[in-house]
Amino acid sequence: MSNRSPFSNLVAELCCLCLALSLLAGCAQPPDSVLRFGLPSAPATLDPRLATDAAAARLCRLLYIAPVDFDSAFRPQPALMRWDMLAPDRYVFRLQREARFHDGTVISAEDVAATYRSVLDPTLASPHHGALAHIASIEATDKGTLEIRLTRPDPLFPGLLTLGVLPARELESASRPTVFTGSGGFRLAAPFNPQRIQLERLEDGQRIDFLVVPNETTRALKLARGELDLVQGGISPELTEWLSHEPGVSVQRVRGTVYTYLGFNLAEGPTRDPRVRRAIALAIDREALVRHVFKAQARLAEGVLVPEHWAGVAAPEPLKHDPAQSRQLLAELGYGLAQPLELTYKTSNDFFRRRIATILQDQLAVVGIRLIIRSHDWGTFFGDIRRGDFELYALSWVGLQLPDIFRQAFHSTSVPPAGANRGRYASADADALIEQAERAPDEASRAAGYRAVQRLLAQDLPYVSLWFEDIVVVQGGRVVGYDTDMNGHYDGLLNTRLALDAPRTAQP
Amino acid sequence: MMRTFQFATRLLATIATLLGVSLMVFLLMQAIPGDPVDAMLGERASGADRMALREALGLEASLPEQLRRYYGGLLTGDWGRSLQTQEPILDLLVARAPGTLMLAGSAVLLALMLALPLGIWSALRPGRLPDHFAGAVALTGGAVPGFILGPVLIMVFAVWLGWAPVGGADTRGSVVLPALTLALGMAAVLSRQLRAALLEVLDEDFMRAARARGLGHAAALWRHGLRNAAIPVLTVLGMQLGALLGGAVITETVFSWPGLGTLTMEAIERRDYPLLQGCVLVISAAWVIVNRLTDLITAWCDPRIDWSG
Repeated sequence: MSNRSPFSNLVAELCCLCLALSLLAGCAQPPDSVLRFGLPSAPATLDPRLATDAAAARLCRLLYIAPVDFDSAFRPQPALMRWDMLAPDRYVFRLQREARFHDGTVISAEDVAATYRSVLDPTLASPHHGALAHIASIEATDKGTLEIRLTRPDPLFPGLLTLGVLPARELESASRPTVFTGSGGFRLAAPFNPQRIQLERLEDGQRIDFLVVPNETTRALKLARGELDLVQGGISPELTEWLSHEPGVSVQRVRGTVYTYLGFNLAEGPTRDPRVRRAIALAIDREALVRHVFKAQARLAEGVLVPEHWAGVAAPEPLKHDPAQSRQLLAELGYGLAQPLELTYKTSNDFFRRRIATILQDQLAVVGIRLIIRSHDWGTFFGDIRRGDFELYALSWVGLQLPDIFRQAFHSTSVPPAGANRGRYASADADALIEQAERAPDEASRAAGYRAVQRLLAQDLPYVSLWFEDIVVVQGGRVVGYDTDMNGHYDGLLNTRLALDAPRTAQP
Repeated sequence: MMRTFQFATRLLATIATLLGVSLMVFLLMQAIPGDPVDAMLGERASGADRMALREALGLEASLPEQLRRYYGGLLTGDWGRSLQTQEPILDLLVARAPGTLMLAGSAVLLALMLALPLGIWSALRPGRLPDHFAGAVALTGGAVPGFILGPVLIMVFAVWLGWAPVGGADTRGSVVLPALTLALGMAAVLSRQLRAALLEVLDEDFMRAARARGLGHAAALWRHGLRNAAIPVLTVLGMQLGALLGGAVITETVFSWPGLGTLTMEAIERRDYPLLQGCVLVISAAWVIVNRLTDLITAWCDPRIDWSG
């Protein structure tokens, strides 16, 4: 044994540790030619038939071509296929151009048919099954033509064919693959690893790695340090502001479609009374919330659909913050600061959601509403909401593109488990307007019908619309040409390049 | 012969514990709120689709039947498929296990590198400045939680000094900061444990006898003191390693380390109940097995310890 004292040993070992750490300096930076995109959570799958989370759906768009896409006003547009509506329950889709899978095979109508038939297969348990359940039959009549019959008329049906096309031969394989041969602008450069998805751009071989960094602070620090080049969403307004002052980092904001609302129970309790709902709506200072909590990275919502949507209301009348009128309405009902109305507000245990809840609690207290906040884990919270076991709650709708949301969320036949009318809103007028809009023969009258639905909802207030969150892109100095759209698609990566001579960000 | 009997008893007890743990995991998964069918099919699915899927997943079967299938699957290596990815759960667990093993192994090594000299140093000078200093270091290491220590280490070593990456597992050096985060807390406990054990041992007659036989201070400490003081330290180390093998959820999340901890978090976030069940089972089993192994090692180190304990 050495004659050195334990203290000398400690000093020697600490020196070794510091030396080892300093030796790491050389290998701390990853190679320069790869663009690194930070994701807050791992995509569950790269199978478009099963993808529901935002990251998975966006990555699937890069890997697979879909028959139909949407334009900037959310109108269905031909992508791979154009269509003719022979009747509202019968469509013919035709391939409008030759496209190939990455193995060189030409995509045929049979591939499209096989993809959508597999979604309808109950054993796959696809979350898209419900939306497509009214497909009665899908037949490829020749290599380029597909005929689809529906069990009920659906003029919006083409907008449902947005899932990427998979090769029929792989779908029929007994091995149940989880990753398929793609057809989009990117292909997988390495076997699927949800923590690190390596894609290669077909056009020029540019590698893009999607790295999962669950912790928000770590994600921001990795960007500041140059270990990530691009992060889209999932960074708080405070951290975004801090990052915007970091050298080489730039922040881009795009208006988004994620719609947050306050939901009421319309079947029982005090919120059945429209005056209570109106009083709550008038008491909430949405502008202050957007300004202070979101640092203006959101815009006020006046309805479920963004104003840019073809069925949205272009210039809606804003819901004003008017605590005096709110107090007056409550006084008529016998409530006030001395005798407050007590309501329970349910939310998830997400930190941001709880923060919003406490601000709402404070705003409502001013008019004489005592809000009791109940925060639960997601499973309990969402289970309660589905069962109608709540008075107030706040949730968001993500990825709304089709106006069928009105049937799903407000039609009286859509009460869970048959749909998402969680507040048990039952209005014969609303049902009639929704059905009328669905039956409308052309887009103009359909849009007019859905606007009438939205006007009625603004009066009845089954929801208080809160805001649409912006999509915030934070990028390092090397990223050139990245752009996203209102849906937050990653399609901009098709045109993004790396300025290899530019510094990643501030170097230590 | 006696030892073999004791060993067999211990093994049977371990198997019984694992069976109990797996039963508890199964029952817990039955009790947690939320319907896996809702998580899979979403809100637009029809009642018929929901029922069909419930039947396909075996959720409509009676509890004893589900339990029979569960144990049958565990024994035959069919742990089911992830609700979200539809990949076999065992494959997902096996893919993440190396990350956790590497992180846990590195953390233990670093913890020992720090705890041994700190513990010895303070035991040799009890009540004096080095002891107070080591105590303060240990207290600080133990008191600062990982979710604070991790970001602080990132700021210092990754952002300011640029010595290590902020997170991920991209480079060989990526393991250092998460391992250090885990190691500092472990080292704090281990060093205090070692100090206490050594103080007791150093006062024993056999230590004085060893010195009287002419052994130097360091040699006596090494040959007799440390070996006898190691038993309680080993027990604590085993418990901590068991917990680490189950996935250091917070540290793995802070450093984006791809291990069982982050897999567990993903399963919770996606409400992927079969995957969560698999994660919890592995975490529990790792804890039980490592602790049983620790018992065996301590009994091997000290023949006076009863193996069947």
